[in-house]
This record gives sequence, structure tokens and C-alpha cells, in this order.
Amino acid sequence: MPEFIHLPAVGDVVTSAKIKKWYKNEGDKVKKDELICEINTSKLVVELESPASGELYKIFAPVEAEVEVGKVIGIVQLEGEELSDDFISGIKNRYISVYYEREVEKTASETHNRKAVEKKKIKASPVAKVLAKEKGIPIEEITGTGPNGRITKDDVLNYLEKEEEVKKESTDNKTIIKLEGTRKIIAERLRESSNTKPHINMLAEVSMDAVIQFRAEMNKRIKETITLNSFIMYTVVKALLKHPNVNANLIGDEIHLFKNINLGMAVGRREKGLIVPVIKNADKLSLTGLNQEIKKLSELALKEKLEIDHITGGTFTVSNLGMFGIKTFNAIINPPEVAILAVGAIIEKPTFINDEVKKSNMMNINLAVDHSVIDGDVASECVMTMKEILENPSLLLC
Amino acid sequence: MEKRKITYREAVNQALHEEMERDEKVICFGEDVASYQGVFKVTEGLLSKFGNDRCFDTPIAESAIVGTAVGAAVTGLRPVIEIMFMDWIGLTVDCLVNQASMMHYLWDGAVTVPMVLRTQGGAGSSGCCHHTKSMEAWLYHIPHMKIVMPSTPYDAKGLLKASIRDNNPVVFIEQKLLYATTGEVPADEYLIDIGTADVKKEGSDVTIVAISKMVQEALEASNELEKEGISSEVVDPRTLKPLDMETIGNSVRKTGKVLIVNEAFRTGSVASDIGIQIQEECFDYLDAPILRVTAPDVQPPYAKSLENLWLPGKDTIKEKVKELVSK
Repeated sequence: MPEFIHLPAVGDVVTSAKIKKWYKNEGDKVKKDELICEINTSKLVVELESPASGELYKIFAPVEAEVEVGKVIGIVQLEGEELSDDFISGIKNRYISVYYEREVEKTASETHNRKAVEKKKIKASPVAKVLAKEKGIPIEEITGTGPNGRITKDDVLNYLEKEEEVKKESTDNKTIIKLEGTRKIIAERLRESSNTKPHINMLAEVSMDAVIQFRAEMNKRIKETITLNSFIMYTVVKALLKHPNVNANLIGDEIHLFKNINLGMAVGRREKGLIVPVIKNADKLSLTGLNQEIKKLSELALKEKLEIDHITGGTFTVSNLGMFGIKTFNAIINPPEVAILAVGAIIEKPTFINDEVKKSNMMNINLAVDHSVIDGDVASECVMTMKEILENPSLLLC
Repeated sequence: MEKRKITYREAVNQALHEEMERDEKVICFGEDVASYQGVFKVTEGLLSKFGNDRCFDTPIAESAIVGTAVGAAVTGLRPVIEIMFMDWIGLTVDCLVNQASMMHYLWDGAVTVPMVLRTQGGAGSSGCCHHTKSMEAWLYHIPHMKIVMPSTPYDAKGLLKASIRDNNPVVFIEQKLLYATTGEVPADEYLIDIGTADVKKEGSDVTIVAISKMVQEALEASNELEKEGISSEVVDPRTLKPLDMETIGNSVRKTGKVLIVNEAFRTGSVASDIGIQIQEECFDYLDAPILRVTAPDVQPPYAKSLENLWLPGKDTIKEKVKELVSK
């Protein structure tokens, strides 16, 4: 039997991904685990490896095709095998990529149903089509100015000229960078979140004196160094266990509440773009286990070695900008999650303790929730639980 | 090279004189070509110079004229015959289609048919139905027969001389209104290869492929359009068969837009065929649909005012070019 190349599962909510690039052509020899295809999903460009050695016999999902998770995007014919067209057509209906199925469905519905939705036809002159293809311009992006809105050669040339102008401007006094790859995905997701989720922010000031002392004592007695961030993350896990409504996803009109906690941590990578690796089942980890996991995922993120599984399936995210000295900030929820905790810097401040002014290490925690799903009282209770734990670290044992 | 300005009529006449002088096998006959010297005076001076053996009048019997020419051609002469007005070409078609064009093939190359059939097509002189039509499409359909349709004195002379020297039957179609037009022609002898088109005017926005007198109309239209900022290239195929698709194609590939102008009836016209050939060869270069300017599918009227409406010309060409370049 030949080996099928499947579109890998990319988490609970990602249902499809786009083919970005095929490294091999049909008919090319491939080796097992050799890089064969690149897909664009969720937040990452993911590389797929060949499932077997042989020949890349057929590509079902061409570049740009949007494919449903689990579908077959190609077939590797093993050495000594002779795949027939009958074999291919035999498996088509059941296994092949969504792209292909859509084509089949469309043809079928056009044949059987006169009311079939009219396929959008782009009017363009032959030379305009050829030129656009040569220059790699998606023809649907060009506005036709010819008779009946036909895209003419001039329209393509004008489009190119405008692109050139943009490029030229960048050499003058500014640089224009097109949104693409990770940046584009970040932009789309945050826009979506900002536009569709009514954010409310619950800000609390926390004294970190106790946890700092607690941490110092602990680090003296164990081999590894537990970071303050790990304490905060651990605190979040404990708080979420108490407030399960905050540990959720909003998918369509459904709130999905999770028994486990998959804790996302925002990692800034400068020009490479923000990424949120997810600590799976963080609620099952000890403080040291969590500390190790955070370290591992941060390193993978910075080295751009994260895999699909590392960045999907999050149920809550923490974004910590304390190291930059930021006092507090309003974070944007990472969809489909419904809440995010923004952690600020620890700043020494005079505080009243028993009517006396004392120096304390204060930190702001700012919980943003999707108000369409979570009410203010629930969010307040959750953030106050976090404050309580941090100010009384022995509660971490509960 | 010295050049002289002569008329189209004189150019054809000079070609006949020169070829008859050069080769005694060249003979000339038809209705009124000898003593009357041609209804358009194209055969002027041939009878007096070459005598009645080489230039003679025939009865009004078109099929007999062509039949005689085919016989003369296969037996060693190089006849140049005239069918007065192309409207009557129908009377000669059987002999052209079933004899002249086929004989070289049927006799396995043992015979050639080196004859030239001169005739006049075209409208514009209130000639009505029987003296107005452009019937080149009828003959264009037939293999192994060359069709030449010159638009200038220079082309007429060079192409007629080449036609007379060609060993295949050649239909040489003149245009009545072109006879009086003038143009420069070299004093020295020259020939023009049959099957070569000529770019009469260079341009960049649109290609106008025009045939015979329509070339003059296209040039006028092109000059006027230029003042409006539209640059058009005028390509004259000069010979319809063989058709120089290379030159036509190069122009279309440059401009991406093409208008074909032919004063014949629209349906089944040579314009239609050139259009499909362009579509086949240049599809990926086309930036607009191929358009035609032709006469409509109705008989040419006698009344001058109506004939003007019927006959395509400069204004129609301008209108269609604007349609092609319109946004």
C-alpha cells in the first residue's frame, strides 16, 4: 500500500490549514522523513516530512489550497509499487483533500442542480491573465477597468507599477513591510479578537514580598532555579482550578470548559513575531515541572523549533512584560480563549502595613476577559484568588 | 534609387509592359483589353507594342477566358487575363477550382499553371450590385491558388511582376477606386515576394489589419486617431494567400488589440478567417476581443448616399478602434 500524506491534526479548534509550498513535484523521489511540504496554520508555518521512501506519486492539494485536518494531501508510492489511475479515483471520494472534494461537489451540484451557486468568474483578457500569472499577482486582487469590468493588460501593469512605487518609497524615507507569514496570522487573530470580543480588564495590585522570600528559601534548597514567572504561572494554574469558567474556549456559540489546563505563555521574539507556546496539562505539573516546561518551550520558541502541538490547544494565556519594566497593560485575548492575564513589573513602592509605611515589592496583574462569556464578578474573583495566592504562597500547596 | 510618383493604374500597366517585354511567353487577353485598352485603361499600349498575337480581345464569356488561359498555361505560355469586374468571378469558378488550382496536384507535378487572373473588386463608385462586390472570400477558400490584393502603386507593380513569374495560378485583385491613387515607385526593376505583409504605419495601441483600399482608409483613420492620442499600427497583408501571419502576429503581440478591415460581406469573409488565425496564434497576447469592420450582409445599394452607409471606411474604423482602446 502506498503511504498517504495527511494534513496533520493541529489542535482542537484548528480545522484546516493552507498549503504553502511543495518542496517536491509529482514524480520526484522522496526519502522517509525528508522535508516534503510546508503548511500555514494557526500561527506557524509547519514543515511536513515524507511518511515513507518512494516517489511522490500524486499531489492532491496544490499550493494555496485550504485543506481540512486529516485529509490526504498527497500520496507516496513505495518502491516496486505501480499505482493505477483506478486506484487513485477509487480512493478520491473518501480520502482526498477538501480542495479536491469541493471541486467534485461543485461539479456534481452544477450537473444536478440548476440553481447551483454561480461560480465567480473573473473577467480578464488573455494577456492580462498570462501577465498576472508571470508576475505572480493574484488576478482577483486587480480591479478591471475595461469593458464590463474586464481586467486588461494596462490594469495589470498599473497594479505592478503601484507595487513598484511602494517598494521605491521604502528606499526613500520609510520601509513598508507587507503583512505575511506569522505576522499576518498574528494580525488576523488579534483583529478578530479585538473586533469580536468585548474586553474588560480587572486590575489588581499584588505584594510580591512573600513570594520573593518564599522563592529565595526554596531556591537555596533545590538544584534548579525556580523563576518568579514560574511562581506566577503556577499561581494562575491554581486560580483557574478554582474558577473553571475562565479556563475556556469560545467556539461559535459554544463555551467549551476544560478539565485540564493548557497554559499559554506569550513569548516575544522581536521581528520573528510573538508566539504563544502552550504548556499542556499544566495542572498535572509540579512547580519544578512547570518551571522546566516553561524553560524548554521558551527556548524552542526562540530557536523557531516549535511544532504544531506546542502552540495549539491553549485554554488560558499569560503575558508577562514585567522584564520590560511595564507597570501594567491591557492584553488582547488569544482566541478562541476567553481570558488572558497581563503581568507587569515588580516595582518597589511605599505601602501601608499595619498603619506603617513600608517598602514593598508591588506588581500589577491585569486580567482581561471576554465579557460576552465571563461576567465581571467571575473575573474579579479569579484575579483576587491569584492575588491571594501570591501574597500567601503557602496556598500553593493546596 | 530614383523614384517616380505614378498612379496605381500606371503601376499595373508598367508591370504588364515590363513582363511582356521580358518574356515573350507572357500574353494578355480579356474583354476590351486590346483595342479599347481596358475599361480602366490598365492595358494601355499593349496591343500597339506587342501586337494582336500577344494581346487580344475576347467575347463576353468569362468561363471561356479562364478556360483558354488554363490551356495556354499548361501548354507553355504565361497568360495574364482580365475578368472585368470581380462580381462576375462566379462564372469562372469551376475552371479555377476544378482545373487551374488542381492540375499541378492531379498530374503529380507534371504540369504547372502559371497564369494570372487580374480583376477589379471594391465599391465606392455607385456600381450597384453587379460592379461593386469584393468576392475574394470565394477563392480564398480554395487551396493551391494564390490571392494578391495590393493597396499601393508600389505594391501593385512589384506584386504583379512577381505574380506573372509565379508558376501557380494567381488571382490578382485590383480596386477600382485605387486606380487613380498615386505613390512612389522605383525607376529600377523590383519584385515583391508573394506572401509578405507590409506594416504601412507603425503604432503601439492597436493593430489594424486592412485589405486593399481599406488600407488607405485605415491610414487616414490612423492619422486622425493619432491626433487624439491613439497610436495604431496599420498592417497590409498584401497577399491573402499565402497570408503572412508572422508579420500580423508580431504586430498583434505588440499591441494586444486588433481590428480587421475588409470591404467584403461580413459573413465568411477573409476578415473572419484572419481573426480566427490571430486568435489561434496570439490568444495569450490579446487584451481585447478581435473586432471586424466589413460591409454588412446585404447587397450594395446603387444610391450614393446609401452606398456610403453600406461601405466601411475611415469613420467606422475610427469608431471601432476607439471601442478597442476604450476603458
